Amino acid sequence: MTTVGDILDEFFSPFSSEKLWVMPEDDNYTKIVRKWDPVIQSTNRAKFDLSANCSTWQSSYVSQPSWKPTMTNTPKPGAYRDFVPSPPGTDPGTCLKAFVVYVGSGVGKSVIPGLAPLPAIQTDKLYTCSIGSFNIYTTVDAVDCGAKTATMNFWMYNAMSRTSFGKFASNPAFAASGMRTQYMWWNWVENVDWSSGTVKTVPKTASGIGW
Amino acid sequence: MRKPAMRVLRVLLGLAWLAGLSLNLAAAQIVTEGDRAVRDLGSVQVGDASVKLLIAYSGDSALLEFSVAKDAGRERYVPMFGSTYRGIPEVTLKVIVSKSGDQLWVQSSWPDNAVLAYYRLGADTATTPFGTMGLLETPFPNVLSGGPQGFPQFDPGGVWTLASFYYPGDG
Repeated sequence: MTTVGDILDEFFSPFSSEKLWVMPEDDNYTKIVRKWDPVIQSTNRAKFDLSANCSTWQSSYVSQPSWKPTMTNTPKPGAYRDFVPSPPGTDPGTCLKAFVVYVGSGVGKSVIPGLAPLPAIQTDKLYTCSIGSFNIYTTVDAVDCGAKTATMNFWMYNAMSRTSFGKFASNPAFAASGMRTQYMWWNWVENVDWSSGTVKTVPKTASGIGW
Repeated sequence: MRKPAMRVLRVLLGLAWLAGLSLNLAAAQIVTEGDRAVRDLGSVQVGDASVKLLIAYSGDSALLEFSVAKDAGRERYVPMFGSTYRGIPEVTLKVIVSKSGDQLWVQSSWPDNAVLAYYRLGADTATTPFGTMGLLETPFPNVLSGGPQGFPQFDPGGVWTLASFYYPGDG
């Protein structure tokens, strides 16, 4: 399970190195991003486009199992893409609060003698603020334009770099931080059905198969 | 080794905050109103149209695009690459124009992304990595959604490179 603290710690560490974070569907971070409104809206745009242009998806946006995420900004080829720059809720005020809570919890557990170790407080806001802008690349694992059903495969991407933090990154407090780029990918699959005229996401059964 | 070091760093950050130091904390990847900037990478004249390559920075994102303006009219924009941090990787961009002067392609030095845009001069749409789309009224769209559908191929003998721009990348 990936925590945002793991990624922030790597990024701000003096020993920071570039790292690839791939978070599958059952990862805690993936579950959080899927509940984030900008992500929901983004995936809805892809679903709507699929329902409106099924034949294009069938011919152009089919999943290639050989493709693997890498430490690169190069867009995922052969995929529908949705670029969301600076989504709401990643403004300085919101993110400052989340980051202060996180930093403050670290202070509490480290400088108060006798205090039992406490987990750092990582709010959902901290998780989404640490992403900010993102791309979502979508393909279909399977599609039936006649039946109007498909299995959609979402890959969400964000790169956290020194430039992601603006003036914050040049503050002397971070002089010792490595701030090497962290490449983050989240992946999940959804079954959809638009035979009724409205795109519906088919809930997965306990076995993980939605149909 | 790393965990204790990070604990110390977090403590220092926390103490700095508690001491009231102004960190101008653009915490994590954040957006600030008025935090927009446009970097002009260069312009070329194609017939009676001015074509300008640019990067539009907003919050923690950057958008590589070109604008087109006819007869000194208002600029309209064609997106080519959306970056999830405030910068783009190093790139060389070539503006390739048909010898008839009515079509242009923007070609990048990035792998697998040879052509980033196609535009027929005077048209209201362009072919982009987000598909065929109308020209944008602003360099700062809220979202960009669509899929690549391939670019019209050019005959190497029927075009010429009008200009080439190198950008060293951001951070």
